[in-house]
Amino acid sequence: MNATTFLALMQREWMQHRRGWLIFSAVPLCMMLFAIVVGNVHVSSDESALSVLVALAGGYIGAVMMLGWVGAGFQSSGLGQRDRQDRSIEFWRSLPVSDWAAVGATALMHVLVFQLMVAGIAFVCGLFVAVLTVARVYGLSGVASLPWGTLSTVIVAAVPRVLVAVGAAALWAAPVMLFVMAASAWLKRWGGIAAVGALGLGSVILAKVYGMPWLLQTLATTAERFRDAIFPVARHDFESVPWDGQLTQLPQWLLSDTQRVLGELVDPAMAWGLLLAVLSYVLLVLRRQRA
Amino acid sequence: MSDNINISSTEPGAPLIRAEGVNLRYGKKTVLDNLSFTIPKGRVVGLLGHNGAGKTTLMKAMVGLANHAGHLDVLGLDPRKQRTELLRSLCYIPDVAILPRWARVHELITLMSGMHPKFSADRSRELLRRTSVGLNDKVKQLSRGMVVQLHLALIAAVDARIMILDEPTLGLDVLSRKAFYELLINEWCDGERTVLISTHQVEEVEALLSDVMMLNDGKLVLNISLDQLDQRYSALSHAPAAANAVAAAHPLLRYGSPNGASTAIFDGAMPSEVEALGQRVRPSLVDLFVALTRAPELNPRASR
Repeated sequence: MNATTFLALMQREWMQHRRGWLIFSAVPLCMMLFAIVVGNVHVSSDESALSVLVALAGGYIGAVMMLGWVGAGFQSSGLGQRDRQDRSIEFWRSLPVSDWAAVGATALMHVLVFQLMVAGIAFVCGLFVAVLTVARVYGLSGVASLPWGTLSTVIVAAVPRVLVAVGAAALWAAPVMLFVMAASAWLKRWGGIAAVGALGLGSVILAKVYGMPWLLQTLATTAERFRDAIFPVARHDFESVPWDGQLTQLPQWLLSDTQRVLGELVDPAMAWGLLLAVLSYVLLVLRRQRA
Repeated sequence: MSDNINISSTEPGAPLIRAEGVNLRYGKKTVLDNLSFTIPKGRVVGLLGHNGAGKTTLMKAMVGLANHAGHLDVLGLDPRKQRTELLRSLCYIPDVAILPRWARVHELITLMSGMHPKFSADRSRELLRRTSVGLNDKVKQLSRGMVVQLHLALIAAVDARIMILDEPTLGLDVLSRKAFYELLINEWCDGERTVLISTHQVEEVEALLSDVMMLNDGKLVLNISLDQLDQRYSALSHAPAAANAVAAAHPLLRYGSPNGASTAIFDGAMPSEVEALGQRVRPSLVDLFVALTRAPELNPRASR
């Protein structure tokens, strides 16, 4: 397997899904633009233009990234059966491409690259939407009054935080997504539901009936870490986040939160998750080999 | 007695495909039954057989998609263990309706260029220029015949040594089938490459073939070049009045013609007294196929 072939496999995913991905990324922007332009925007008199900008930009970015994961989650149940429905799997398997690489490229594109795209678009659109909202509420003078020097520093500090958010969230979400893909590949239509049911209900039964809470705790930790990766403020009080009057401290706050997200990757829950991910990956390859 | 004749016995060079005792079972059902054959380079081999005879399974075994017992090597490689390497020099059309429907033609060319080291994008575009398929067309917008032309143009642009085609003209009209065969013979076959094609349109491909393999219930009942076939099998066209005398010579098959005459096919030289009863003619591949693959109680010699 060489890099050219793997890139071609990734390119295949982009060619097949780019339209849906781009539309998916554009819909939140269109909705927000419609709301800002046509709707009524109410902001408390206590809020400054700066706090509105930072909260809206951060909220938009986080919300769209989360939407991206929800979309990928729904799509993952279809990926397991994707090429079988139109029999194109027979065409793809007639090419000199290993099944391991084919499955790997699909997983990489949907678990990571698509999310990077969503995050990147959300980042740019979030800033745009936030500035537009400030202009709508406070006028152009409100926009001009913003501390753009400090904001630029915050934006630069936010870039690695967003990148780490995508990477960390991908690591936390990949086991479940791959498990759902594998389940739908082997069990067809009900595979995804069966997988979610098995994990969720099974963990509750193990904890409540058999006194073995490790699976439930692992799932809870995974969900918590996934949330915290995408929403830096999830574990904090809003008042403790240094914006508005303490904006110059926000870059350092983002940096320390980035380090915390990276540190939390070293966790037994991650180890179990990676084990599940590897097992699911193997099952996907085996299923493809029998296609 | 099995009618397996080793094609490569008089051909120079190592065979591209070699099978020895290949067996394959799906549960209790034997799909391939002790197949042994070789296929040399530069041949156009027709793989014939009734539905369920094992043609597709044999082809899948050759490309590593079916787990078989026995020895099978293609281009010196184990199809199951060295599948990816084998597919670099072997191209395969398992069915004509399997191109991804979401893709545009130029996208397929781009992807093939990335995934197949021996694929020539320029060659594929040159082949497509002779068809009605446009580079910006989506596969789902193409007719079945155009999809076949596209698939063949993609595969024919691969510098492979073997092409395996599993009923590639299924469901096509006569013009599309003719275009397909012309593209295959004129643009890909060069005397060094080998084509293995399974089809039900026996009469159409007979003129293209250099060799024929016939499967019946998983068994290889015939494996012969068309030159040797003419030497081995003979047919006698005779009047109905001579039917009893001809039947007494135990032909493989007897059938009537629209003009009232009857024809009998013999394996080997026909007795001189029988030959005097009519006119010797060349047996068609279709008639030979029927003679060798019909139920054994109707044709006891075919199972030997």
